[in-house]
Formats: sequence, structure tokens, C-alpha cells
Amino acid sequence: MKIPLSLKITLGIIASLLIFAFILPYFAPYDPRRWATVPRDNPPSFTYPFGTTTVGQDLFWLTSYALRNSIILGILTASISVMIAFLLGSLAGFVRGTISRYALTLLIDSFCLIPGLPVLIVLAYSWRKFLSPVLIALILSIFGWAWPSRSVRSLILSLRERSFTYTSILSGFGMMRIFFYEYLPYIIRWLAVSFLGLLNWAIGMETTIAVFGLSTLEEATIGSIIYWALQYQSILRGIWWWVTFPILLLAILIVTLYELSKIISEFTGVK
Amino acid sequence: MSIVLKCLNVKGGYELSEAYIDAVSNVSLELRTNEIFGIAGESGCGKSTFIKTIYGYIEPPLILKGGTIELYGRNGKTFNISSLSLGYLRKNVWWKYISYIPQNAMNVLNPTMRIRDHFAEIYKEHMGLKKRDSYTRAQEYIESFGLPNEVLSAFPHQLSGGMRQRVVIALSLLFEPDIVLADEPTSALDVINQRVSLVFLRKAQRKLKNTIVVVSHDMGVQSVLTDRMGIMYAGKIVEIGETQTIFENPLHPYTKMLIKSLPRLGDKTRRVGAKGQPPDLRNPPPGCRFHPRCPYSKPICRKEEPTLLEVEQGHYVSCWLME
Amino acid sequence: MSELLLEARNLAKYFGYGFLGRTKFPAVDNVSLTMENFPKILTIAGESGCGKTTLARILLGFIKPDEGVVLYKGKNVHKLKRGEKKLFRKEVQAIFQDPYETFNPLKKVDTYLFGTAKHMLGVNSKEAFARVEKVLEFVGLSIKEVVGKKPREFSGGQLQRISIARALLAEPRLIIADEPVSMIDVSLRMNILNMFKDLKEQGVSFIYITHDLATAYYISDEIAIMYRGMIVEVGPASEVLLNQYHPYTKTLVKSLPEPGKREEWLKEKVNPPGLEIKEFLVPGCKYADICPNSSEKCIKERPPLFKVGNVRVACWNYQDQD
Repeated sequence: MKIPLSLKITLGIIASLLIFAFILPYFAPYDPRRWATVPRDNPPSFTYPFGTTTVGQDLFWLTSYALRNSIILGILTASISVMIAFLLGSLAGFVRGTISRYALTLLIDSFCLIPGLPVLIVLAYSWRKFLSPVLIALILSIFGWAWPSRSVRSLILSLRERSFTYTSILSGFGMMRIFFYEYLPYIIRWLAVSFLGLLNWAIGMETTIAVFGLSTLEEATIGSIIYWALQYQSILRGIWWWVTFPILLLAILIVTLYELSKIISEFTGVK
Repeated sequence: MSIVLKCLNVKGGYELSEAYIDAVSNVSLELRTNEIFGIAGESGCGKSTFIKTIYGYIEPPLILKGGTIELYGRNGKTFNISSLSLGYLRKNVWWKYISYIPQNAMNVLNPTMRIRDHFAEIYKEHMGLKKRDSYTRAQEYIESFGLPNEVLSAFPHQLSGGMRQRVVIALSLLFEPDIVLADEPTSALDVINQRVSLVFLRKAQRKLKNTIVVVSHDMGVQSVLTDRMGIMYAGKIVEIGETQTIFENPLHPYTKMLIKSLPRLGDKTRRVGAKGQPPDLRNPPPGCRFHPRCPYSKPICRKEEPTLLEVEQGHYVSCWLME
Repeated sequence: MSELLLEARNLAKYFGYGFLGRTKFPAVDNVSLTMENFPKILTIAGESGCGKTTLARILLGFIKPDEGVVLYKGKNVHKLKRGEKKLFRKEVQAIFQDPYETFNPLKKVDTYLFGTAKHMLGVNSKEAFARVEKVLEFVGLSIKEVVGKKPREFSGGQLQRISIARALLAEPRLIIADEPVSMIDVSLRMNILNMFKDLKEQGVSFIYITHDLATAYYISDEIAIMYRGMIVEVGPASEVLLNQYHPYTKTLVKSLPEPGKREEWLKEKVNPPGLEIKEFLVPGCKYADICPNSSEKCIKERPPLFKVGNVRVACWNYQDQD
């Protein structure tokens, strides 16, 4: 099977970003989070490829650290959300009794309709003393599962109408076997695409609330870098690199993940 | 009666990464003015592809490998469709000299535009007419077909499938083209709407006296609608003749089998279908492409391809049994 | 001990549309039919949108009717106990229109064949293999060309024959076939229809659902014509299709394009039925608005099925002949 060029490029970029985020930190000559380790406000140069911050951090190593945290946070959120979506969505699509079906559907739809961002901001603010990437991931998961869950449910409902479901029943197979053998491949393909979407969403969300100072301020994330950059009025003062490089890397990551999910959905025929 | 289209040795197909699908294999055909010509054949025989090549609608992976297609229009203009670019065809030939009604055309209407705006768009593109004038013209035009006025102000989804198909047919005849190509014009319609649409099409043809090509796998439709027909099998034309003649005296074994397997109301005698299935056009059999399924095949059928011969007045067959 | 194999009594199924699905229209409207214990091919004929696929799913027990009941050997199909349900699934099989949808496109086709053999016949793997081989041979395929392949590796005709083989494997009493040949090439249709005829001789009954009256005539013993969810005419196939008592049946048959019928086919003016939902909801005869013979009574009151010889017709014009 030939691998298309677009896939090669996309995977290449993701691989580079992952190396940057996960392997590079081990080579950091100093703890990039600590203030005053390097001269302040230096523009990008050979010694400091991304420049340095106003509080004396090497932006290059700091960004690599931060990217790692952002990605881990994203993966955590996506994983939890996908698992919940799978469980609740499957139940909602399968369950027989009218009452339980309505209850589950109501639950899923409510969480879809509740505006996520304001609630997340409130929660993040209330627990700001305890915030860590893990806690943020958990908070994001409260809403992350809702829309994917809805999709899993409607996916299952439409699969139940397809002729091959009837053929399975007529061949003597029970609903359990139909779910795991016939439907699961479809659900997994859909969840894979959904996972990437959630990953992007989580990273983006964390960055958004971080900019308001509602993320973890001790651990570095892309959002927290931007926060501090804004706090120190870096743009007004001409320290453009402090904001630019993190955002640039974030953008590359998000766009590439999106492209990857597009390629996967084209390949598997999932919408 | 004169010739309106001449296809000579047309070769075309689909260039895929793994293989080449030989869908139109050395097809020659002449179409006359004032006739309804049917192209019959089953799925995968190449008839839809052939229609596209006649229209000049060649877009990858479809390629034209060889042959010529010449259109002899009214007022003496000749177009060598096989050598004209899509751009030129779009501007000067399509809609005016030749129209194409693709399969499931009734679903090709823009769901966000009212029918009268479909007319307006076409009038604007080809005649530079303003909306108001287009609407007036469209109204007269629709009425001349016996279609109700209300159709113009409706959106496509508000009309039944049969009505949409008649609208599409009317649109295709707007500039009175010399040839209209209709690919399975009624396969999505129920039997009653099918009849209404096809009778509509035939009336229009009888009025304009142009040429309509109807591609259909339904031999019943062919028998009631067309004046002459061609049978295609695996990318080849195997028989051409007047419809009546072909049904009364089919000569090619494939044609014979197609007609014999048609169920008729009032006849319960047992019918036999064909054995095997149509060949894979990526790897067609040598010699006559029908020979693996033919009950009369001879050794030469496996080695050499037969040519299209005129066996009787206007009746052509491509079969070694005829020589 | 019931005398009937399958009986449908006054089935109705409503679908909602409009705002919140409030307005309901009957996709299946007061449909009754019977399959006796002797082998018979019953055709349910009608155009798309007439409700025949919904009816098929109700008969197979996949959808619950809103009104009426389906009885298999006297028992309500939707209220069967475990063991009875298993027997029902074995004895009443189905063939669907699109062979590429009949099987999961992602899975190998033989899983359904072996599954049917094991679950429906209760045999072990070795015996199952032998049975599958035999039934594939019957439909003209060798087990070697079938095993290990996914649906897209077969042609439409081959796949449909595999679908038939799977249904036959269960040794059913009744097969409900929903447009089994409409997606198959014309030259191959006869082979499959002849197979149905032969199977009937061997004791299998069929409910053949189609819009194609010519094939219906070819294989059926009995035919029911459906229009807008209702049965408008039912009786022995030749009598219904050659006499054409109901105006709709007459229009249908006259619209059939057939060699030799050219003149008549081109001549007569015909009013095609629209597909407006409101036409399903009229109190009187659903065909009245386009019927050439309709009267005041037809528009107001819905006609029951009147007997005319062996045929039953839902048309007020036949009231006196009953």
C-alpha cells in the first residue's frame, strides 16, 4: 500500500515536534523554568535560537519543555474523553428501555449544550491553588466527552439500521457479538479521528485559560509562556519572540494534527 | 436524413495507478439526424464512458487514447470533439450543439436555486441575457412543453423525481442542440414516472427533429423508445440496427441472450440467463470478449477479434458466426 | 395447531414528520396477508415509497408495528420467548437488495456463512464446512472462491448468490426477499429467479418484494399490489396482472415498457402520482385524486377489499360484484 506524500510530510512534522518536546528536554543544559539562568531579553541568535525572556529564561528549551506538558495534557484529556464517549455513547445507542434511552440522551445532550468555557474558567479559578497539568486535563475531560459521545451514539444508531446488522441477527449472532465484531471497527475509526480533534481542542483550551492566568503557573505550558509574556508586556516592549515562537509551534502542532485527522478520515471513510 | 455524429475507432478508458480499464475499445458508430438512438448493455460495458467521450467530457482518470469524434451541426458547422479542449467545448459547443444529461441528473439541480434561476444562469452564460428576460423566456419555454408554470418558482426538492427529470430534459433542449445524450435517464424513477418522462422526451424529439441518444440497460425501455440501437458488451459494440429488427431478429449471441432473458407479462415459460459474468476490463479476454460465455464459440473466437460487418441493410454485427 | 405459517393482521406503522415529528403518516396502513403451510411465492409489488420495505422489516420482526400483529405458526412474532425466537429466526430468513450492504464491508463474508451453519443448524465446525460447501455449490460457487474474501472482492451477482446461500443454509420455511435482483445485471437475474422457483418446488416459500411487475409475473403464485402503504389488490398473480381490476394496477401494467407494446405505451395519457405526504392522510381512497373513475364516495370513504372472483380489490366500483 502506497503511503501518500501528504501523509509522509504530516508524520514527519509531527515526529519532529515530538522529538522537540520529548527527547530534547533531556539535553537541556539547565532547568529552563528557572528565572535568571541566562541574560534577559536577548533576541533570537545562534546561542539562543528562540531568544530569551524578560525573566532570564532560554526560550528555546523552555518552549520544548512547555510543548511536552501541553501535549501530555492534551493526550490525557483526549484519552479520558474518548473512553467516556465510547462508554456512554455505546450505551445510549444500544440500551433498550425507553426511559433509560431518554435519560442517557438527555445527559449527553445537556453536556453538549452547557457552555464549556465559562464553566471551565470558574472551576480553574476555584481550584487555582491546586492546578497541575493533570488536574487541568481532568477538568477539560468534564466537557470533552460530550460531543464525541453524541456522535458515537448516532453512529451506532445508524449502524443498527444497516442491512448487515439484520444479516448478523439472521445468522444467529447476538447483540454483544454484533457490537464487538461488527460495530467496533467503525467506532474505533471514528474515535481515532475524534481523538486527534480532542487533542487539538484540549491544547487550545488550556492555552486559552492559561492566557488568563488560570493554568498551572509553575509547570510550563505553551499557554503559561504566553501569559507571562503578556504580563511583562513583551509586545509593547519589542520582545516579540517571547510570544511568537510558542504560538508558532502551537499553530504548527494544531494544523498538523488536523491534517493527520483529515488523512485518516479520508482513508477510512469516516466523516 | 444525414449524419450528425461520426465516431471512428474511439479508444478510451480509465488510467488508474495499478491498471488501465479498457472501457471503450475501438468503437465506431454513426448517428443520424431525427432519430432516437439507444445504447444498451449491462453494468461495466462502457456505455456511460462512451457517452462521456462523445460529449468530450474527458477528465482524469478518464483519457481518450485514440479515434475521432466529429459532430456535424446545423448551419454546416463541424466540430472535431476529440481534439477540442474542455474550455472551448464549454463555451461554444455544449448546450448549443450537444447536451448531456448525466445519470441521476435530477439530483444535479442546485437545491438552493429555484428552477427559474437555473434557466437564468444558463441564459446568462450562453446568451448574456438579464434575469427579467430569462424569466420571460423560461416561462414561454416551459409552457411550450406542457409543463405547469408553478414549476419555475419551485425549488428542486419541492418537485417530484419525475417532474425534476422533465425539467432537466427541458433544460437540455433549451438551445435546440443537434444531439442530446441521456445516460440512464429514468433508472431512479418508478415505472409510471418513467413512462411520463420518456414519452415527454420522445415528443420533444419528434418536434425538434434532432438526435437523442438514450443509454439504458433496460431492454424494455429500449424497445418502446428508440428507433435504432447499439448493443455494447465489455467495451465493444457488438450489434447495431433498427430496434424493431434487433428485437425480432437478434444476431449476436449476447443480444440473443439479453432478449431471451427478458421476462414478459403473460408469459411464464422458463427463461435462461447467461452463465459466468462480464469480464474485468483491466484484463479482458483475448479475441472476442464474449467468447468465455458464448454457447456458440469457435476456436477463432478465442484468438481474433471479429469486426463489425453489415449483415443486412442497416444491421451490423460483430461476430465470427456471421462470416 | 395453526393452519397458517405466517399471518399479518391489520398491520399499521406510523412515521412522524414535521415539527418535532408530531404529524404522523402511515407508512403501512391496515395491511393483512397470509402465508399458508404449503410452499407459495407471494409478491408484494409497489413503487418506492409505498411502504413495502417497512412491511418487510415488520414481518421479519425487526420493527414493531403500531397496530396489528404478525403471527408465526400462531404466535406473536414480537412476543416470542427465547427458544421460540431462535426457531423463528431460523425458519424465516431474508435476502436484501444491496449485496454489498448485506455483509459488513470490513469483514470476511464467510463469517456469516459459518455463523449461520453453527447457530442455526447447531453443527460442529467440520459439519458446518461441509454444509457451507454444499449450499455454495447449489448457488453455483465453489467454497474455494468464497472463503477468506471481503465483499468488495466479489461482483454484485456473486455476492447476491452468497447472500442467498447464507439464507438457505438455515433451512428456512420462508424467505423474505426485498428487491433481490434489482441491483443485479439483467442477464444474471433469470438465474437467481429460476433458483427461487426451484426452491419453491423443494418446499421453501417466498415473499418477493419488488417494483418490477414482469419478474413478479414470472415467479409468483399470488401478488399483492401496494399503494401508499395500503394493499389495493391481491389475488393469483396471473389474474391480478392480466385482468387489472384496480385502476392503479391497470396504470402500472400499462406503463411497463415491453417489446411489441410500443404503440400503446406511447399513446395513453397518464397522471403520475406525486409523493406528497398529505396524500397518505386522506380519509377516502388514496388513489382517488388521480383516478379516472373516481366519485364523491371514493374521496370520502376508504373502500374495503371486495371480492371479484379469486381477486380482492379495494375499489368502490367493484362493490356490487362482491
